[in-house]
Amino acid sequence: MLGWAFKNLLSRLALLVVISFISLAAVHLAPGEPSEVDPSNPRIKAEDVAKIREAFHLDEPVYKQYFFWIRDLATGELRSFKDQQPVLPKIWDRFKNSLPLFLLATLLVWTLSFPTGIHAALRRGSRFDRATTIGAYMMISIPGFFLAYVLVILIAGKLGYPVVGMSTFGLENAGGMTRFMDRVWHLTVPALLSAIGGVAVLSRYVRAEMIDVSGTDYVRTARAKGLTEDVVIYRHALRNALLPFVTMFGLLLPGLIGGSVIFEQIFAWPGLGRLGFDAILSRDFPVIITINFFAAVLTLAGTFISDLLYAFADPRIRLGGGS
Amino acid sequence: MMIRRLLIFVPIACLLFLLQSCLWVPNYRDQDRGDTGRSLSFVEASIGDAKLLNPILNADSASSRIVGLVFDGLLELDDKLELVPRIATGWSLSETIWVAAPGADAQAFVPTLRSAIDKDPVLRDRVTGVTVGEASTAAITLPPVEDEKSPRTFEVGLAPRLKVELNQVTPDFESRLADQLGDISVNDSVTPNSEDLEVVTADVVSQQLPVVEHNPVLEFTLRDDVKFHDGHALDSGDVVFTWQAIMDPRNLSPRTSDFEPIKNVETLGPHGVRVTYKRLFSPAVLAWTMPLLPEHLLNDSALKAEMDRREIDAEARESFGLRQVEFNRSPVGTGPYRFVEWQSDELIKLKATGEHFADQPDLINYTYRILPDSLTQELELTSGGIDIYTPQPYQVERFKSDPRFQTLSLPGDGYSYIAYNIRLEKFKDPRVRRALSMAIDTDSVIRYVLYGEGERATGPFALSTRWHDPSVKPEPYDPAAAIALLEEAGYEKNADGFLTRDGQPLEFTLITNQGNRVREAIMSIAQDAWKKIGVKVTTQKFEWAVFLEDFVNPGKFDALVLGWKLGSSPDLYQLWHSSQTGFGQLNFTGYSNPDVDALIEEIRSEYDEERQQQLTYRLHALIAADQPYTFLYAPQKNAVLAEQVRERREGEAAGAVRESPSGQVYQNFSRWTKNASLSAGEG
Repeated sequence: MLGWAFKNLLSRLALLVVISFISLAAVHLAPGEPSEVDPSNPRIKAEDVAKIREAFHLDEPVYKQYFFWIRDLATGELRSFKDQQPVLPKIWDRFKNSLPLFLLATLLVWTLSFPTGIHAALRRGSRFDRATTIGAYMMISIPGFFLAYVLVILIAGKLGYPVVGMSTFGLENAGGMTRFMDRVWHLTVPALLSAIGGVAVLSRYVRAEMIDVSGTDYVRTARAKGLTEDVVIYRHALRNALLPFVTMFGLLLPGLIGGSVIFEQIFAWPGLGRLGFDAILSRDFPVIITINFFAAVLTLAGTFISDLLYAFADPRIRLGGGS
Repeated sequence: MMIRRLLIFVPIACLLFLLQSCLWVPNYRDQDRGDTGRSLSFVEASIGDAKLLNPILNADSASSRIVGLVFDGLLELDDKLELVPRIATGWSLSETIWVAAPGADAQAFVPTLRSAIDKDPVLRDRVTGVTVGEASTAAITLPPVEDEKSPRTFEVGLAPRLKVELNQVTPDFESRLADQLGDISVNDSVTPNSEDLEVVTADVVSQQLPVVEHNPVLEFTLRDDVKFHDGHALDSGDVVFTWQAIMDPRNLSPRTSDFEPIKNVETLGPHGVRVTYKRLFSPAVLAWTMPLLPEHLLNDSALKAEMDRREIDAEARESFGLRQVEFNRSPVGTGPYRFVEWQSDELIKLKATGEHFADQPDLINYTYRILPDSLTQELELTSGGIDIYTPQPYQVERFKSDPRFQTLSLPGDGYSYIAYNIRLEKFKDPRVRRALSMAIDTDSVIRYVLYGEGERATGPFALSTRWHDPSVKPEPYDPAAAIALLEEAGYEKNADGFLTRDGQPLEFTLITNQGNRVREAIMSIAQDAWKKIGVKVTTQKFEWAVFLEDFVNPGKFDALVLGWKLGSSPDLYQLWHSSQTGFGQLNFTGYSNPDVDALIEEIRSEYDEERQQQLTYRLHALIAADQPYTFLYAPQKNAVLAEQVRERREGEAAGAVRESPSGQVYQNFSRWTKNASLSAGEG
């Protein structure tokens, strides 16, 4: 087990180096240069642009730039082209903003999907089942940004309630409870929106999994033993149906980065996704590459945790044990 | 069953808790819920965050807006775009002219020059002194030889020259002198090193070191009551420091082109500054609207202290300059607002100092919010979160008819155009370009694409400036005349209805950048209009960086749709001078007209605004006749303000915010106030 974990970690580390090098090369090979200088400003001369290029090592070969990047990242000296701020604290600040949004959205997805999915599976073919099926397919097919705009126009345009940003502007001097509830309110709309797609997909999975499990021998046996329907469903069927979802926990991790770029953009939420998006638009190479790097780290860590969790949850699976 | 109840109860409780939170939040009808300071605040939104809050380094509009409130320049532009004093109480222009003596004998030349000056009535009035200067050295620069990168420089000796002091700038000094003395084009006082003689020829010398060297001198007197926000008094040292900081190569300032012609900036006591220029360069005066930096916070010892405090390593110390200082994120200036805080991509907060020498704003809190989406901005306006919004052209009508808002319409400070690559044979003939312009119904473009929010542009100057000649007529929309003109240029319609010359059809590709809807629409309209007169056009869109790098910068395109944003300067050197057609330079069409070049240079060396205006009118007419661009329109600038915002006026009650003829939305920002605070003040 430990041996497996060690070997697996090593190979993931090697993979990480490859991924980060490719992402750095891709960013540099893509057309376009850091827009440090405003191209529509006739007052900037070509010489100034050249000087700026040199200061940022933009004319070095890619492998050297990779070396500079690794070195600067390790020493914490890596700075954004855009505002000269160190990249790591910048990413950390944004991460802290993205985290509550991510947690709340995840909480909503997981708490809403299970009751919906289970209920639909138990009443297969009922009106509720058909309604949730249609609802889920609608939510999957309607683009998130469209729903976001509809909600926003309704709440802010018609009802006059502020929805953008992390809090209502100008409440610094208000009471603690008001400010807390204001934060919650501002979190609610984007979190609900980012949860909708997840609920639609996950509740479908839960439904399918429950239906699958309901037909198995052990459920029939449980019923035959004369157990109450609730015990059959929630102890015997649900537990086994949960198995595939255990692994999904690990795969949630990469969602932390870029999980909701669109909603962060629409709701002016200063999160990690928006930092990455803005960095791409302004070709802020150090930020793009570093965020990419962390996304790769989280993905590799996520799949690693998934493997581990699965091994713990399902006794049939043994890691690294030959056959 | 416990699990079942949990599965149902938990999500419902979650949702209820989340939804009740809206009861605590202030809304449009109840803006002051939880905070009563809203009516003393002005809140503005921007699509993008500021980059650097340093006036000598910033290159984006968000940073400029904040810097404009936190800092002051020596001069500023008023309602009519005239230069007026701000930190300076006034300025004066004079000139020192160096004249090389024939035969390098300065002493002997003094009486000759004296009598020549006395014979010319204008010079007699202006010259205040003629003395003999010291021997000195000068540098001659030549373009690099093939395999080198940097240009070559050669030092040459300069014999003593005559120093002529004048009480005003006299650009025509040498022509007046030549009237008296005859030919004065050979500079005898230059002695190159013997080994350089082959390259530093007499021709090179007379080109780079003419007999007469103009050194315009600009003198400022500063106010003595100006303080930085940390209490430190501003003095002439800060002016000198600001200039040095701009020119310091470590700082990579994008403003160097305006300050490079400066020879020296020296202090005349604590409240006087003398700026000496290397040559005639009239845009230089306007450049002093540049905000001033506090020397005491940014000089070498302050930088060193900051490096020590932040424990910067030895290597980073080498390049540590104003780009790296923390000042850029917490600036200290002299302006009416002082900096309070900056949360990246969220907001920037300022607060009125209340002690400013000129502006006493009523709106004591200023917030600059970053809202990257224009719909979000609009909704923030409707829910009371911001006080001003820039509407899309199609929204203007709606806002104008909504009684909750006031709408400002200002003349735009830029224009959109279709540029032709004049390096190509097919665009060389101005008649072809004019015909292409005449084929496009620009008035309809303004009416239908811009919803009427634009004005016809006819030439290279911003419509709101005095340099724009309103009498220049745009090319009329006349497809028949366009065809006639093309036929005059040698084109004939072939069997398929396309115009051809010597068997070559007139066909080209029109390109623009992706993402700008208006430009994309113009591209299609032009394509269609040109097809109607028999010109075959294909169109393509490219991502901005690709568009710029692969097409505009190398000059590899046929025709393109683009726009310029202009300042209030009459200087068009970078956009239209034939020397600016290289890679990445701004005269990317390769336009070259010796008359235009001469006029541009003359405007640069002309200090009298009336004369400058005559010259810009001529320049405007010349460029309009050449049609290197099809000048389309100057987009109207619109702004929607919340109804509560009012403008204070002298001697009368505050009223609706007025549109400034300068075209600047915030021209009178320091006089803006809000209804609520006004009634509180009266009560």
